[in-house]
Amino acid sequence: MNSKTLLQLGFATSLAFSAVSYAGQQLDKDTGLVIDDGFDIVKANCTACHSAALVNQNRMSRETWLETIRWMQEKQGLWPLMQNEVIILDYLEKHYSPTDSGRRKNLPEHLLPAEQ
Amino acid sequence: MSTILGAEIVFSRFMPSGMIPAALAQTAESFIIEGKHPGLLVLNDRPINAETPPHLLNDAVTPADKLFVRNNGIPPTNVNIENWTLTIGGESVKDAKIYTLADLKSKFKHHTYQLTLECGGNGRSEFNPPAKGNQWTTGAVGCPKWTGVRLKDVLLDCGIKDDAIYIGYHGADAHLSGDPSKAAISRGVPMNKALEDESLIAWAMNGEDLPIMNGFPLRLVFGGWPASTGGKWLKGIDIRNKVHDGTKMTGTAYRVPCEAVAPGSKVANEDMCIIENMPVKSLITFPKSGALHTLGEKFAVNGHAWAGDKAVVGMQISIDFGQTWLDIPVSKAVNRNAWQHWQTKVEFPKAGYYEVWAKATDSDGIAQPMILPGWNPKGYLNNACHRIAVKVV
Repeated sequence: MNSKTLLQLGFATSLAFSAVSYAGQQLDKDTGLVIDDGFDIVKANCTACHSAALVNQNRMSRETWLETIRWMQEKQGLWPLMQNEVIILDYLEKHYSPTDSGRRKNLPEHLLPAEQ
Repeated sequence: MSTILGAEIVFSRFMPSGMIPAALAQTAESFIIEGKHPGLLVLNDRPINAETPPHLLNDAVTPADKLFVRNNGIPPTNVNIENWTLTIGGESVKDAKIYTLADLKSKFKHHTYQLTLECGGNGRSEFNPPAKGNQWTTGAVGCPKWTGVRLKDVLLDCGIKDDAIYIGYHGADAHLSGDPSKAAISRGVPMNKALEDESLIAWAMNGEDLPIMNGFPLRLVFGGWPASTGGKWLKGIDIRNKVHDGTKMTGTAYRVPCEAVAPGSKVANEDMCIIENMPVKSLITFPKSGALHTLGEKFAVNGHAWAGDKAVVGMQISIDFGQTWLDIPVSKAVNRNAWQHWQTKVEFPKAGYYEVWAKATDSDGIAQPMILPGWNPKGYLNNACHRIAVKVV
């Protein structure tokens, strides 16, 4: 499958996706990815070989996302992203960047006692 | 939400609360991993990676359906055990041989050991700056009973040249890209580990065939070392005259900085050292985090502890965030590289929110840290104390 076909696929997907709202963000129901500029490009290019979960459970700087793309291109057979690369990086940097946290976070909500 | 769907919500830690994952609701079956308990949390479906919540690891011997899955590629399908062979080769083998599964079972003495298997990246999700990869919390560990033949018996049957220093495995799992020239993973261990009594070529877990996702029909098992050293769907073992250089053996894979570094540091490949035995660690497997407890009653808590190639000699718990610690007994391991067990009862002084923290100490006097151990670029070896939340009313 060449990148042009994938691009077309991406646009087709953008017409078909369904979303839910969370904290002001629209999330794609199938992938859990944030729906925003570049989402369809990301979905088309980044989930062809691996699960979207590998994107949405990670948090990286723009530089590290780019390093990861280069590694996938060098080692894993990812195609050249051409003009889509900057769109993908803008999207990942905006929504999947590291967040500040202390040296150990509080236990997450699903492990806390239920409200009485 | 689990009740509505009739299944544990996969990816639930990455889904906002209140959101029903439509893909799951429509096709719940596709997220159930064959042979695995539905309570496992799927971190990734391509390749399949799933961890076991601590409360499902309460058994002394981990049941096959509750052992985590860490796949790097696509497991083989339609395995025919009649045709399955294991090839022993490499530059430092004296006499390369091919064994069928039946050969292995008939030519060599069988051994059974309970061996702790833990992913090198277990606990990765807590590192900051974040490390990329599957964001394991605590559940990429288990300790089933493995049956097979000793790796050393098979290697010695072929003969080991004097210059041998390492073994490397080859499996039948396919690379995610589908490229047949690429291996999904091919790692190994130094000869001294390969030649230990507890290093097995195993075909059974808890007396039954290996689960498909854990390497059916044949795999390596090295208790106490990163589980990635124990090749699944095992087809070949090379005796090497150098450190094995297969996929995920080189660069930064399964390596940590040789010297401690500040969080976020860039570390050159040549300054990264291969992970060998795993650090001391423990898990609270009962009760489940979030427990409600009545003031005045004793609170029963138990779990396991393990320490790579070493033994756990001390176990402590704290109910005041590590300000004071209570020494509690820990059982002896049933064999080397098996996890050990602990249990106790505690009393809470008054109503309120508590966390129970567990801390194990190994035979070298090294204990688990309460916060994260040293940061490393790939997020390995987080052995920070496990903790559960309790509300006393």
